[in-house]
Amino acid sequence: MVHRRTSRYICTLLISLLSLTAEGREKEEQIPKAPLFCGVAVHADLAGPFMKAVGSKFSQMEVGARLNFRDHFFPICELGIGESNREGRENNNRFHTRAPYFRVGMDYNFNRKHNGNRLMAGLRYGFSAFNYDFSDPDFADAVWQQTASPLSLNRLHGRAQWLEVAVGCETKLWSFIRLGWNLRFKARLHQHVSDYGSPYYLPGFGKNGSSTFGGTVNLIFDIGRTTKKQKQPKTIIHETE
Amino acid sequence: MQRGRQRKLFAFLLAASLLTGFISCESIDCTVDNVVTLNVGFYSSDDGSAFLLTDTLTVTAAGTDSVLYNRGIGIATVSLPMSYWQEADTLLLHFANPDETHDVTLIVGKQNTPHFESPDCPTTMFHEITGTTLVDPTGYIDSVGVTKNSVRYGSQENIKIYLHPAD
Repeated sequence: MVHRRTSRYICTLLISLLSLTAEGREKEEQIPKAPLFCGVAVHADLAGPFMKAVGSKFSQMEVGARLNFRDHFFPICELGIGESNREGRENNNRFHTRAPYFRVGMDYNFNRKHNGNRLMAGLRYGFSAFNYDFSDPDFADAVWQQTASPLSLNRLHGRAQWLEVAVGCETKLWSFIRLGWNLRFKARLHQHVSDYGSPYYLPGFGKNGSSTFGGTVNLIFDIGRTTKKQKQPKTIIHETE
Repeated sequence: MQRGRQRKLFAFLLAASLLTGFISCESIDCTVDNVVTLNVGFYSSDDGSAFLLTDTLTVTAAGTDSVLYNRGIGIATVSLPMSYWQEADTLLLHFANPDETHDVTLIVGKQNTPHFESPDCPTTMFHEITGTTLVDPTGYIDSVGVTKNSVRYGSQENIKIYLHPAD
């Protein structure tokens, strides 16, 4: 009795799944496929200059380029310069770095309709090699009563690699201009830093730590071939008398 | 159509402002245990077991008027700050009981390396012990041994001092 009931449930589930798949295929057939190569786009991050303008502790000037395959797959590379000028909140310590960084990865567009809006998720690998400075003008040995010796450590070398998981969306503003934003979870894979201490900021990654969050607001320019809205077939109405 | 675009733009700006706000959040995260000290343990020269001092111990830094440790009794360990820049610290150990006093000089050779965690945190100095020299005219201390050369954050023992147990 129990077996019969279970097999009935399984059959019902299979039939409903099959019908759903068939429905999905029908819908897929209705949406025309975008061409294999849909063009190239370049973008610039607007959040970086904004953060620099408001005096943030670190900022990143970033540009990137990506290819568009079938309006779904977007291999992407990003280049930028990360900068941090940070003074201690309760002391006169100072940290400084300014160095380039590089990211490479892939985005995927989940929106099946080619209507100019994109819901994206992606993965990036980031790398940066940089020098950083640290100074403490008040570094003094109070216990052994030696004279203050300002500490200045310059050109300490560091390297870092990390992975980023990005989610975001973008929309068409006008013709070939798009605007988009994304939120990123960044996980540090490896860092090589000086024995004197770790950098406060890793260019392209953000505040140094095992993981961090970040994001960009991108102004995107489509170059070359772009996906256009599919023309709707004209419907002819036959009037019957 | 126009309203739809306005909604889209509003949603976009809202998301962007949330994102910016999220990025700008920050907290200070300095190491809680941020004191660098030379950790010394006292042991019995007979069986190597931990030794509780029966005499009062005072440690001063030679060449200064700083008292590094003041009048400790019944202790088995002591933590002492080291100098930032000297290549060797001369520690004056003064053991006293109502009947007698013993003055021992312990010279600790070291290399110093500045260390920072973040601009918000105080800068410290890490040390690498290169050797020890004991000057003990009365023979109060049996011997001294280095157990851990690197002097960093934490309370890991760096030096063992073996004392003669009282008869």
